[in-house]
Amino acid sequence: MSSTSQKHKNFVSEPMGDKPVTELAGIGDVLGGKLEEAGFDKAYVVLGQYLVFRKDEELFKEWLKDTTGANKKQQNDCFGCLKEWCDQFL
Amino acid sequence: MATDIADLNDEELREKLIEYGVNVGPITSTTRLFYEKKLGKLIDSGGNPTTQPETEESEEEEEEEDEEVQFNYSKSKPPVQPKPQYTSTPLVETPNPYKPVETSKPYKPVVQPRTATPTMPARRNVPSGTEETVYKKTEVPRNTAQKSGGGGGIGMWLKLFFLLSVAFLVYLVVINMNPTAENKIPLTFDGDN
Repeated sequence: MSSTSQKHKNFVSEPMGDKPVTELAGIGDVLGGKLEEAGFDKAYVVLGQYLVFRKDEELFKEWLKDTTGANKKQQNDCFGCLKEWCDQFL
Repeated sequence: MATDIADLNDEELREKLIEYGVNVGPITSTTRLFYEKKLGKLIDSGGNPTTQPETEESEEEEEEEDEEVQFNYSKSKPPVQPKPQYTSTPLVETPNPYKPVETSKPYKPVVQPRTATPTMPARRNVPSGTEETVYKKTEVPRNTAQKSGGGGGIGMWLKLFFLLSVAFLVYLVVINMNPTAENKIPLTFDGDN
């Protein structure tokens, strides 16, 4: 049994296309709103940030925390979601 | 000193980070701040710009690979753990205490059904051969789990199988113990109340 959420599974099961940031695991309405304010309105833009950090876990999580105030769990969920998506599709 | 991290231009910041062994990506408007923070942390904690390996991901990958390789070898190793009740069959799950928690996970679901088997001797009607068959059945799925790496799903089915078999045996006993009931089940022995 895995410990990932349904949201995570949904996200990593297909190319993200134009999905909004709120489709990312760990990103709900509140964090999604903050990301959109910062200009990250689509999931692929957050993906871009993750890739620019060369997929570095620590940096990405710190960026997410700084930008949205995400807690540890939300950081982990979002990072894990993007990481697995990249493993599948990138 | 490097207290003026913010004064470094992008190239210098990158070079400094490389000195500390950081896997530096592009220094952009969104990433620069975090690379500056990272450099600050490294300088504060180390102060020694040696190539400190920060590749956590690769370390984890290496550990996982090593565990898998070691696990293959562990089959041939005789288990040191005391297993008084069960004879022979040096099963793979014994090297569990030697391994970190990660590899024990695929075997945990297999361990549990084994602990359930001690209750089986209470039903003396059941021939001891079932224990061995149970053993053999636990071996095969474990091997497949090891190779495929998807041990979690197979373990669940194994649990279900054992649960059903135990439930069936209980049913047999209950049916057999009822004096008014006819002996409908051909598997049970007669006059065994």
